Amino acid sequence: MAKIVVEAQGLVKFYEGRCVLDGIDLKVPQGCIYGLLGRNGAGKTTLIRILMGQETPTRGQALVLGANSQRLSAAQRGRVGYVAEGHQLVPSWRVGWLVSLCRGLAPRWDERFFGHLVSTFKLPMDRKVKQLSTGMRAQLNLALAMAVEPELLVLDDPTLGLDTAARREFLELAIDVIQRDGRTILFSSHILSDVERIADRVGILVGGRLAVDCPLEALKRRVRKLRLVFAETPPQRLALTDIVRQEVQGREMLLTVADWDEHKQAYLETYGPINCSVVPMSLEDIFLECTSRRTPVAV
Amino acid sequence: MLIQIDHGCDRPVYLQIADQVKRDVALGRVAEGDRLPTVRELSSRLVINPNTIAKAYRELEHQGIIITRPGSGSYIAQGSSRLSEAVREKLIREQIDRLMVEAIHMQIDRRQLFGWIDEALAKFKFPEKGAGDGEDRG
Repeated sequence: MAKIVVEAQGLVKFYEGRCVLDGIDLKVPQGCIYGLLGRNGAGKTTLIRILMGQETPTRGQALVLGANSQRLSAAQRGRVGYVAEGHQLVPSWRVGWLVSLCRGLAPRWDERFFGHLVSTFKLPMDRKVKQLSTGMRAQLNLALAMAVEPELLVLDDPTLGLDTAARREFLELAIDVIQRDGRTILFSSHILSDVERIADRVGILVGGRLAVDCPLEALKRRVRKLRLVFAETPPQRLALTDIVRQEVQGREMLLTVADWDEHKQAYLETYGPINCSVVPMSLEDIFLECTSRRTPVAV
Repeated sequence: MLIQIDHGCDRPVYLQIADQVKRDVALGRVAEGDRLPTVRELSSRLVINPNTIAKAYRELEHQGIIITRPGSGSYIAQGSSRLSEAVREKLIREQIDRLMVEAIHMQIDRRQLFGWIDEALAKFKFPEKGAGDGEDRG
Protein backbone atom coordinates (compact mmCIF):
# COMPACT_ATOMS: atom_id res chain seq x y z
CA MET A 1 0.00 0.00 0.00
CA ALA A 2 1.14 3.52 -0.76
CA LYS A 3 2.56 5.63 2.04
CA ILE A 4 0.05 7.98 3.62
CA VAL A 5 1.33 11.54 3.31
CA VAL A 6 -1.54 13.44 4.91
CA GLU A 7 -3.86 12.04 7.50
CA ALA A 8 -6.61 13.57 9.60
CA GLN A 9 -7.98 11.57 12.51
CA GLY A 10 -11.27 12.73 13.95
CA LEU A 11 -10.46 16.42 13.55
CA VAL A 12 -12.85 18.71 15.37
CA LYS A 13 -12.50 22.48 15.47
CA PHE A 14 -14.60 25.00 17.34
CA TYR A 15 -14.34 28.73 16.75
CA GLU A 16 -16.00 30.83 19.40
CA GLY A 17 -18.44 28.08 20.21
CA ARG A 18 -19.22 27.40 16.56
CA CYS A 19 -18.34 24.00 15.15
CA VAL A 20 -16.28 24.46 11.96
CA LEU A 21 -14.94 20.94 11.57
CA ASP A 22 -17.08 18.11 12.89
CA GLY A 23 -14.94 14.98 12.88
CA ILE A 24 -12.82 14.81 9.74
CA ASP A 25 -11.13 11.55 8.81
CA LEU A 26 -9.00 11.79 5.72
CA LYS A 27 -6.10 9.96 4.14
CA VAL A 28 -4.06 11.16 1.19
CA PRO A 29 -1.65 8.53 -0.15
CA GLN A 30 1.64 9.34 -1.82
CA GLY A 31 1.32 10.46 -5.44
CA CYS A 32 -2.33 11.36 -5.04
CA ILE A 33 -3.78 14.63 -6.26
CA TYR A 34 -6.52 15.35 -3.78
CA GLY A 35 -9.10 18.00 -4.61
CA LEU A 36 -10.96 19.43 -1.64
CA LEU A 37 -14.29 21.00 -2.49
CA GLY A 38 -16.84 22.84 -0.47
CA ARG A 39 -18.89 25.97 -0.35
CA ASN A 40 -17.54 29.12 1.24
CA GLY A 41 -17.30 28.57 4.97
CA ALA A 42 -17.45 24.78 4.71
CA GLY A 43 -14.13 24.50 6.55
CA LYS A 44 -11.64 23.97 3.70
CA THR A 45 -9.18 26.64 4.83
CA THR A 46 -9.50 25.65 8.50
CA LEU A 47 -8.69 22.04 7.63
CA ILE A 48 -5.68 23.10 5.57
CA ARG A 49 -4.45 25.47 8.27
CA ILE A 50 -4.59 22.68 10.86
CA LEU A 51 -2.68 20.40 8.50
CA MET A 52 -0.05 23.11 8.12
CA GLY A 53 0.21 23.61 11.87
CA GLN A 54 -1.12 27.17 11.75
CA GLU A 55 -4.17 26.28 13.75
CA THR A 56 -4.71 23.84 16.61
CA PRO A 57 -7.50 21.31 16.44
CA THR A 58 -10.02 21.24 19.30
CA ARG A 59 -9.95 17.44 19.16
CA GLY A 60 -8.30 14.80 17.01
CA GLN A 61 -4.98 15.06 15.27
CA ALA A 62 -3.43 15.65 11.89
CA LEU A 63 -0.35 13.87 10.54
CA VAL A 64 1.77 15.30 7.76
CA LEU A 65 4.59 13.13 6.35
CA GLY A 66 3.99 10.83 9.30
CA ALA A 67 4.49 13.51 11.97
CA ASN A 68 2.00 15.44 14.07
CA SER A 69 1.23 18.63 12.17
CA GLN A 70 1.39 20.68 15.35
CA ARG A 71 4.97 19.67 16.02
CA LEU A 72 6.70 19.60 12.64
CA SER A 73 10.45 20.11 12.73
CA ALA A 74 12.09 22.60 10.39
CA ALA A 75 13.45 19.74 8.29
CA GLN A 76 9.97 18.23 7.95
CA ARG A 77 8.51 21.60 7.05
CA GLY A 78 11.15 21.94 4.36
CA ARG A 79 9.63 18.97 2.55
CA VAL A 80 6.27 20.70 2.23
CA GLY A 81 5.39 23.43 -0.26
CA TYR A 82 2.49 25.57 0.84
CA VAL A 83 0.52 28.23 -0.96
CA ALA A 84 -1.86 29.93 1.43
CA GLU A 85 -5.18 31.39 0.44
CA GLY A 86 -5.03 34.84 -1.14
CA HIS A 87 -1.33 34.69 -2.08
CA GLN A 88 -0.21 36.93 0.75
CA LEU A 89 3.38 38.02 0.26
CA VAL A 90 5.13 40.99 1.86
CA PRO A 91 3.85 43.84 -0.36
CA SER A 92 6.73 46.29 0.06
CA TRP A 93 9.47 43.77 -0.80
CA ARG A 94 11.12 43.50 -4.16
CA VAL A 95 10.53 40.16 -5.87
CA GLY A 96 14.27 39.46 -6.12
CA TRP A 97 14.74 40.05 -2.40
CA LEU A 98 11.83 37.76 -1.51
CA VAL A 99 13.24 35.06 -3.77
CA SER A 100 16.73 35.26 -2.27
CA LEU A 101 15.25 35.03 1.23
CA CYS A 102 13.23 31.93 0.32
CA ARG A 103 16.22 30.41 -1.44
CA GLY A 104 18.38 30.99 1.64
CA LEU A 105 15.81 29.43 3.98
CA ALA A 106 15.06 26.33 1.92
CA PRO A 107 16.97 23.14 2.66
CA ARG A 108 16.64 22.19 -1.02
CA TRP A 109 16.22 24.54 -3.95
CA ASP A 110 15.90 23.64 -7.63
CA GLU A 111 17.34 26.75 -9.26
CA ARG A 112 16.95 25.41 -12.78
CA PHE A 113 13.25 24.67 -12.35
CA PHE A 114 12.68 27.96 -10.56
CA GLY A 115 14.45 29.82 -13.38
CA HIS A 116 12.27 28.00 -15.88
CA LEU A 117 9.13 29.08 -14.03
CA VAL A 118 10.30 32.68 -13.71
CA SER A 119 10.96 32.91 -17.44
CA THR A 120 7.71 31.12 -18.36
CA PHE A 121 5.70 33.51 -16.25
CA LYS A 122 7.93 36.50 -17.13
CA LEU A 123 8.16 37.42 -13.45
CA PRO A 124 9.95 40.75 -12.97
CA MET A 125 12.61 40.41 -10.26
CA ASP A 126 13.09 44.16 -9.84
CA ARG A 127 9.48 45.03 -9.13
CA LYS A 128 7.86 45.21 -5.73
CA VAL A 129 5.35 42.55 -4.74
CA LYS A 130 2.56 45.13 -4.50
CA GLN A 131 3.19 46.17 -8.12
CA LEU A 132 2.42 42.65 -9.35
CA SER A 133 -1.00 41.68 -10.65
CA THR A 134 -2.97 39.06 -8.71
CA GLY A 135 -2.14 36.50 -11.38
CA MET A 136 1.60 37.22 -11.16
CA ARG A 137 1.51 37.06 -7.39
CA ALA A 138 -0.17 33.66 -7.61
CA GLN A 139 2.47 32.47 -10.07
CA LEU A 140 5.33 33.80 -7.95
CA ASN A 141 3.85 32.15 -4.88
CA LEU A 142 3.51 28.82 -6.63
CA ALA A 143 7.01 29.06 -8.12
CA LEU A 144 8.42 29.65 -4.63
CA ALA A 145 6.48 26.71 -3.22
CA MET A 146 7.62 24.40 -6.00
CA ALA A 147 11.28 25.39 -6.09
CA VAL A 148 11.87 23.65 -2.75
CA GLU A 149 11.16 20.29 -4.45
CA PRO A 150 8.34 19.53 -2.03
CA GLU A 151 7.20 15.98 -1.41
CA LEU A 152 3.86 17.45 -0.51
CA LEU A 153 2.35 20.52 -2.11
CA VAL A 154 -0.60 22.12 -0.35
CA LEU A 155 -2.54 24.74 -2.27
CA ASP A 156 -5.42 26.63 -0.70
CA ASP A 157 -7.68 27.81 -3.51
CA PRO A 158 -4.71 28.71 -5.71
CA THR A 159 -6.70 29.98 -8.69
CA LEU A 160 -8.95 32.32 -6.72
CA GLY A 161 -8.92 35.74 -8.37
CA LEU A 162 -7.09 34.60 -11.50
CA ASP A 163 -8.52 35.29 -14.93
CA THR A 164 -9.25 32.45 -17.33
CA ALA A 165 -5.90 32.61 -19.12
CA ALA A 166 -3.88 32.80 -15.90
CA ARG A 167 -5.90 29.93 -14.45
CA ARG A 168 -5.11 27.86 -17.51
CA GLU A 169 -1.38 28.58 -17.20
CA PHE A 170 -1.60 27.65 -13.56
CA LEU A 171 -3.25 24.33 -14.39
CA GLU A 172 -0.67 23.55 -17.05
CA LEU A 173 1.98 24.11 -14.45
CA ALA A 174 0.17 21.88 -11.99
CA ILE A 175 0.11 19.12 -14.62
CA ASP A 176 3.84 19.64 -15.07
CA VAL A 177 4.35 19.14 -11.33
CA ILE A 178 2.13 16.09 -11.24
CA GLN A 179 4.20 14.50 -13.96
CA ARG A 180 7.21 14.59 -11.69
CA ASP A 181 6.71 11.29 -9.96
CA GLY A 182 5.84 10.74 -6.35
CA ARG A 183 4.55 14.24 -5.66
CA THR A 184 1.48 14.48 -3.52
CA ILE A 185 -0.79 17.47 -3.92
CA LEU A 186 -3.66 18.57 -1.72
CA PHE A 187 -5.58 21.51 -3.09
CA SER A 188 -8.85 23.20 -2.40
CA SER A 189 -10.89 24.82 -5.09
CA HIS A 190 -14.33 26.01 -5.96
CA ILE A 191 -13.89 25.55 -9.71
CA LEU A 192 -15.17 22.10 -10.47
CA SER A 193 -13.82 21.77 -13.98
CA ASP A 194 -10.32 22.42 -12.61
CA VAL A 195 -10.79 19.71 -10.04
CA GLU A 196 -12.03 17.33 -12.69
CA ARG A 197 -8.95 18.04 -14.78
CA ILE A 198 -6.29 17.44 -12.20
CA ALA A 199 -7.61 15.54 -9.20
CA ASP A 200 -7.41 11.78 -8.65
CA ARG A 201 -9.55 11.88 -5.60
CA VAL A 202 -12.10 14.35 -4.33
CA GLY A 203 -13.48 15.26 -0.96
CA ILE A 204 -16.56 17.41 -0.51
CA LEU A 205 -16.85 19.26 2.78
CA VAL A 206 -20.38 20.03 3.86
CA GLY A 207 -21.00 21.73 7.18
CA GLY A 208 -17.68 20.63 8.66
CA ARG A 209 -18.04 17.02 7.59
CA LEU A 210 -16.52 15.17 4.69
CA ALA A 211 -19.70 14.22 2.85
CA VAL A 212 -17.86 12.63 -0.05
CA ASP A 213 -14.37 11.12 -0.19
CA CYS A 214 -13.74 8.90 -3.19
CA PRO A 215 -11.82 8.57 -6.46
CA LEU A 216 -12.95 11.15 -8.98
CA GLU A 217 -14.19 8.74 -11.63
CA ALA A 218 -16.13 6.76 -9.05
CA LEU A 219 -18.03 9.87 -8.04
CA LYS A 220 -19.94 10.08 -11.31
CA ARG A 221 -20.68 6.38 -11.14
CA ARG A 222 -21.69 6.26 -7.51
CA VAL A 223 -23.96 9.23 -7.23
CA ARG A 224 -27.10 8.68 -9.25
CA LYS A 225 -30.05 10.87 -9.89
CA LEU A 226 -33.18 9.00 -10.90
CA ARG A 227 -36.53 10.11 -12.12
CA LEU A 228 -39.22 7.69 -11.03
CA VAL A 229 -42.78 7.86 -12.28
CA PHE A 230 -45.46 6.05 -10.31
CA ALA A 231 -48.97 5.05 -11.35
CA GLU A 232 -50.32 6.77 -8.29
CA THR A 233 -48.87 8.89 -5.50
CA PRO A 234 -45.21 8.00 -4.93
CA PRO A 235 -44.38 6.29 -1.62
CA GLN A 236 -43.60 8.77 1.15
CA ARG A 237 -40.81 6.77 2.68
CA LEU A 238 -38.24 4.76 0.84
CA ALA A 239 -36.36 2.27 2.96
CA LEU A 240 -33.15 3.11 1.17
CA THR A 241 -29.87 4.32 2.64
CA ASP A 242 -27.64 7.13 1.35
CA ILE A 243 -30.41 9.28 -0.06
CA VAL A 244 -28.84 12.62 -0.82
CA ARG A 245 -32.03 14.28 -1.98
CA GLN A 246 -35.60 13.31 -2.58
CA GLU A 247 -38.22 15.47 -4.22
CA VAL A 248 -41.79 14.64 -5.12
CA GLN A 249 -43.80 16.45 -7.75
CA GLY A 250 -47.18 14.85 -8.41
CA ARG A 251 -46.60 11.29 -9.59
CA GLU A 252 -42.96 11.95 -10.22
CA MET A 253 -40.10 11.51 -7.79
CA LEU A 254 -36.58 12.83 -8.20
CA LEU A 255 -34.15 10.85 -6.15
CA THR A 256 -30.41 11.34 -5.69
CA VAL A 257 -28.64 8.39 -4.12
CA ALA A 258 -25.00 7.94 -3.15
CA ASP A 259 -23.18 4.61 -3.38
CA TRP A 260 -25.50 3.41 -6.10
CA ASP A 261 -25.39 -0.31 -6.90
CA GLU A 262 -27.57 -3.08 -8.28
CA HIS A 263 -28.92 -3.97 -4.84
CA LYS A 264 -30.37 -0.52 -4.46
CA GLN A 265 -31.72 -0.67 -7.96
CA ALA A 266 -33.44 -4.00 -7.27
CA TYR A 267 -34.80 -2.64 -4.04
CA LEU A 268 -36.15 0.45 -5.72
CA GLU A 269 -37.92 -1.68 -8.30
CA THR A 270 -39.97 -3.34 -5.56
CA TYR A 271 -41.82 -0.03 -5.14
CA GLY A 272 -43.16 -0.61 -8.64
CA PRO A 273 -42.46 2.60 -10.51
CA ILE A 274 -43.94 2.53 -14.01
CA ASN A 275 -40.91 4.29 -15.35
CA CYS A 276 -37.39 4.83 -14.09
CA SER A 277 -34.80 6.88 -15.91
CA VAL A 278 -31.35 8.11 -15.00
CA VAL A 279 -30.81 11.86 -15.05
CA PRO A 280 -27.22 12.58 -16.20
CA MET A 281 -25.19 14.57 -13.70
CA SER A 282 -22.01 16.52 -14.24
CA LEU A 283 -19.54 16.99 -11.41
CA GLU A 284 -21.10 20.40 -10.85
CA ASP A 285 -24.56 18.88 -10.51
CA ILE A 286 -23.24 16.33 -8.03
CA PHE A 287 -21.59 19.08 -6.03
CA LEU A 288 -24.78 21.11 -5.93
CA GLU A 289 -26.86 18.11 -4.90
CA CYS A 290 -24.45 17.22 -2.12
CA THR A 291 -24.09 20.73 -0.74
CA SER A 292 -27.68 21.85 -1.14
CA ARG A 293 -29.01 23.32 2.08
CA ARG A 294 -32.37 21.68 1.55
CA THR A 295 -32.53 18.59 3.68
CA PRO A 296 -33.76 15.35 2.23
CA VAL A 297 -37.46 14.78 2.70
CA ALA A 298 -38.86 11.91 4.73
CA VAL A 299 -35.64 10.19 5.64
CA MET B 1 -6.10 13.24 -32.91
CA LEU B 2 -8.52 15.80 -31.56
CA ILE B 3 -9.94 15.04 -28.16
CA GLN B 4 -12.35 17.30 -26.37
CA ILE B 5 -13.47 16.98 -22.80
CA ASP B 6 -16.96 17.99 -21.82
CA HIS B 7 -17.07 18.85 -18.13
CA GLY B 8 -20.84 19.16 -18.22
CA CYS B 9 -21.12 15.50 -19.16
CA ASP B 10 -21.96 12.72 -16.74
CA ARG B 11 -19.39 10.42 -18.32
CA PRO B 12 -16.06 10.17 -16.48
CA VAL B 13 -13.22 11.97 -18.28
CA TYR B 14 -11.22 8.80 -18.89
CA LEU B 15 -14.18 7.19 -20.66
CA GLN B 16 -14.74 10.34 -22.73
CA ILE B 17 -11.16 10.03 -23.99
CA ALA B 18 -11.57 6.31 -24.72
CA ASP B 19 -14.85 6.96 -26.54
CA GLN B 20 -13.26 9.54 -28.80
CA VAL B 21 -10.34 7.31 -29.73
CA LYS B 22 -12.79 4.52 -30.55
CA ARG B 23 -14.85 6.88 -32.63
CA ASP B 24 -11.82 8.09 -34.58
CA VAL B 25 -10.92 4.48 -35.32
CA ALA B 26 -14.47 3.69 -36.43
CA LEU B 27 -14.56 6.75 -38.68
CA GLY B 28 -11.28 5.71 -40.27
CA ARG B 29 -9.49 8.86 -39.09
CA VAL B 30 -6.81 6.74 -37.52
CA ALA B 31 -5.74 3.35 -38.77
CA GLU B 32 -3.98 0.26 -37.50
CA GLY B 33 -0.40 0.94 -36.52
CA ASP B 34 -0.88 4.67 -35.95
CA ARG B 35 0.92 5.85 -32.88
CA LEU B 36 -1.04 7.58 -30.14
CA PRO B 37 0.41 10.53 -28.25
CA THR B 38 2.20 9.48 -25.09
CA VAL B 39 0.41 9.85 -21.78
CA ARG B 40 2.61 12.84 -20.97
CA GLU B 41 2.01 14.55 -24.29
CA LEU B 42 -1.73 14.13 -24.11
CA SER B 43 -1.80 15.13 -20.45
CA SER B 44 -0.01 18.39 -21.23
CA ARG B 45 -2.08 19.07 -24.32
CA LEU B 46 -5.46 18.48 -22.70
CA VAL B 47 -4.36 19.77 -19.28
CA ILE B 48 -5.67 16.62 -17.67
CA ASN B 49 -4.09 14.58 -14.90
CA PRO B 50 -1.74 11.98 -16.48
CA ASN B 51 -3.30 9.25 -14.33
CA THR B 52 -6.62 9.90 -16.05
CA ILE B 53 -5.00 9.60 -19.48
CA ALA B 54 -3.22 6.42 -18.43
CA LYS B 55 -6.53 5.04 -17.25
CA ALA B 56 -8.14 5.81 -20.61
CA TYR B 57 -5.29 4.00 -22.38
CA ARG B 58 -5.63 1.01 -20.07
CA GLU B 59 -9.34 0.89 -20.86
CA LEU B 60 -8.61 1.00 -24.62
CA GLU B 61 -5.99 -1.68 -24.22
CA HIS B 62 -8.41 -3.83 -22.28
CA GLN B 63 -10.93 -3.51 -25.10
CA GLY B 64 -8.28 -4.45 -27.64
CA ILE B 65 -8.42 -1.06 -29.40
CA ILE B 66 -4.78 -0.20 -28.81
CA ILE B 67 -1.63 -2.04 -27.89
CA THR B 68 1.19 -0.65 -25.81
CA ARG B 69 4.75 -1.63 -26.55
CA PRO B 70 6.91 -0.89 -23.53
CA GLY B 71 9.40 1.87 -24.24
CA SER B 72 7.88 2.59 -27.62
CA GLY B 73 4.36 3.86 -27.10
CA SER B 74 0.75 2.99 -27.77
CA TYR B 75 -0.54 2.06 -31.20
CA ILE B 76 -3.89 1.39 -32.77
CA ALA B 77 -4.28 -2.37 -32.78
CA GLN B 78 -5.59 -4.39 -35.67
CA GLY B 79 -9.36 -4.35 -35.56
CA SER B 80 -9.83 -7.53 -33.62
CA SER B 81 -12.15 -7.56 -30.66
CA ARG B 82 -11.12 -9.74 -27.78
CA LEU B 83 -14.70 -10.75 -27.18
CA SER B 84 -16.21 -13.96 -28.45
CA GLU B 85 -18.67 -13.90 -31.36
CA ALA B 86 -21.60 -14.69 -29.05
CA VAL B 87 -20.77 -11.91 -26.60
CA ARG B 88 -20.23 -9.43 -29.42
CA GLU B 89 -23.61 -10.29 -30.90
CA LYS B 90 -25.33 -9.98 -27.53
CA LEU B 91 -23.80 -6.56 -26.81
CA ILE B 92 -24.65 -5.13 -30.22
CA ARG B 93 -28.17 -6.56 -30.18
CA GLU B 94 -28.77 -4.96 -26.81
CA GLN B 95 -27.71 -1.61 -28.22
CA ILE B 96 -30.02 -2.08 -31.21
CA ASP B 97 -32.93 -2.92 -28.92
CA ARG B 98 -32.26 0.19 -26.88
CA LEU B 99 -32.21 2.26 -30.06
CA MET B 100 -35.54 0.77 -31.18
CA VAL B 101 -37.18 1.55 -27.84
CA GLU B 102 -36.03 5.15 -28.01
CA ALA B 103 -37.12 5.48 -31.65
CA ILE B 104 -40.61 4.17 -30.89
CA HIS B 105 -41.01 6.56 -27.97
CA MET B 106 -39.94 9.45 -30.16
CA GLN B 107 -42.38 8.49 -32.90
CA ILE B 108 -39.70 7.79 -35.49
CA ASP B 109 -41.13 5.60 -38.24
CA ARG B 110 -39.37 2.57 -39.71
CA ARG B 111 -38.47 4.19 -43.04
CA GLN B 112 -36.89 7.18 -41.38
CA LEU B 113 -34.88 4.99 -39.03
CA PHE B 114 -33.70 2.79 -41.91
CA GLY B 115 -32.57 5.86 -43.80
CA TRP B 116 -30.54 7.13 -40.86
CA ILE B 117 -28.94 3.78 -40.27
CA ASP B 118 -27.98 3.65 -43.95
CA GLU B 119 -26.37 7.06 -43.65
CA ALA B 120 -24.46 6.00 -40.56
CA LEU B 121 -23.30 2.82 -42.32
CA ALA B 122 -21.86 4.97 -45.09
CA LYS B 123 -20.23 7.39 -42.66
CA PHE B 124 -18.28 4.87 -40.63
CA LYS B 125 -15.56 2.67 -41.98
CA PHE B 126 -16.34 -1.00 -41.61
CA PRO B 127 -13.42 -3.39 -42.03
CA GLU B 128 -13.38 -5.56 -45.15
CA LYS B 129 -14.94 -8.93 -44.52
CA GLY B 130 -12.43 -11.41 -43.22
CA ALA B 131 -10.02 -8.77 -41.99
CA GLY B 132 -9.31 -8.75 -38.30
CA ASP B 133 -10.87 -12.15 -37.73
CA GLY B 134 -7.62 -13.41 -36.39
CA GLU B 135 -6.68 -15.87 -39.18
CA ASP B 136 -3.63 -13.83 -39.97
CA ARG B 137 -2.52 -13.80 -36.36
CA GLY B 138 0.41 -15.74 -34.90
